[in-house]
Amino acid sequence: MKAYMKQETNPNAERMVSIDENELLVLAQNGSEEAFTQLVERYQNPVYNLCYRMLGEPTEAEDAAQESFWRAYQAIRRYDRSRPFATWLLSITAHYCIDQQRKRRLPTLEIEDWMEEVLPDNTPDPEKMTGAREEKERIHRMLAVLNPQDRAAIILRYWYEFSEEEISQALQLSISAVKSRLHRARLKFASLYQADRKLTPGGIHDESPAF
Amino acid sequence: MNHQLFETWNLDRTQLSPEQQTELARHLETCPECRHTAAAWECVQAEIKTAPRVNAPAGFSARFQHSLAERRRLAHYRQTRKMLGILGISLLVIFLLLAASTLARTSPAAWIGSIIRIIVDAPFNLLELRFIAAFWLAKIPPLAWIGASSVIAAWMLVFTLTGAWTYKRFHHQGELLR
Repeated sequence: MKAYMKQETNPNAERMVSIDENELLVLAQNGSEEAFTQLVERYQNPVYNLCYRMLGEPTEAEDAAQESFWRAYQAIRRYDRSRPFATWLLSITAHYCIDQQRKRRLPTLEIEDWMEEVLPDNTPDPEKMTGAREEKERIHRMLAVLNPQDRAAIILRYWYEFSEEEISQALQLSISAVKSRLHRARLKFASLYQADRKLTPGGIHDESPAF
Repeated sequence: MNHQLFETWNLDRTQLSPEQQTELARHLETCPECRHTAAAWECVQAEIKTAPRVNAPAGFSARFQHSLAERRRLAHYRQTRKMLGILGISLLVIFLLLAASTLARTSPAAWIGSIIRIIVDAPFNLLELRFIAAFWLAKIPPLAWIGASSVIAAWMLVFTLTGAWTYKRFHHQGELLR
């Protein structure tokens, strides 16, 4: 998370860098719409990215990010400033995305669906086979296989560098539940990756992990 | 040591002690399944690290600001509707309670009879009331009139201010949704 927050490249955020975040939070808690909008500008990318990773579709991701900020706006007075704002905000976002997926019963692909999707396409399309795109699609598909809470846990851990404790706070789970969800997700990712490599030309490389 | 434990260590080595790392390395030498899993997980981690961060589309915060105004307007509307609804339901409940208590004490025939009597006697009763009012008003000294007017004016002022304050409070609550 910390690394991602530092990667913020929004020009408006640079303009406002002189304004202390705490000051903005105090103003926003006192009802300043402008201060809250500045917070939106600062955090729009991490929030949007989380929604995109959770929901997998840009339009839905934008709607979810907008709704998450609205929920944060409604609850800003109850925000405890002793906690990091990013954790609080991303927690609201993760909960909203989990609820959305449960309500809409969005595709959580089953392993069989995954296998169908990764089976090599017979029609030749060399552009489609470019490494970067393949990797991007693979990550996308692998995330879609996980159930919403496991997906949220793995995204917060590996995209936002949340600690297990932070994930447990954000998702309101016990630390042992977070550990077990992360383990399950890692195992699934590894097995899906192996299945994918077996089905694509080249096969899986039997390489020992570096210690 | 059991395989399950090595599987757990294999996928998250961040909290392993040097001894545990050695044990895991020894296990990996003899277990091809764990070796494959470890290799796959390493590759997945590398892909996650290189996966691009997806940024919010241009104009995101402007759209939020615009939607904020709209959402607040809707929130005001909902809050006012809620307030009027509560008021209406309260009045209805009071009316129904009064009606129920009256109906419990008198028969429907007596009720209808008294309503007809009130309607028939209304003109005569109004005339009587007018005479009584005129008689007593004539007895009030001019100074008392000034006092009474002041009391009524003050009461109306307090009533208006209380109404305005209540409206403002509800309006504000709708604005902040708290």
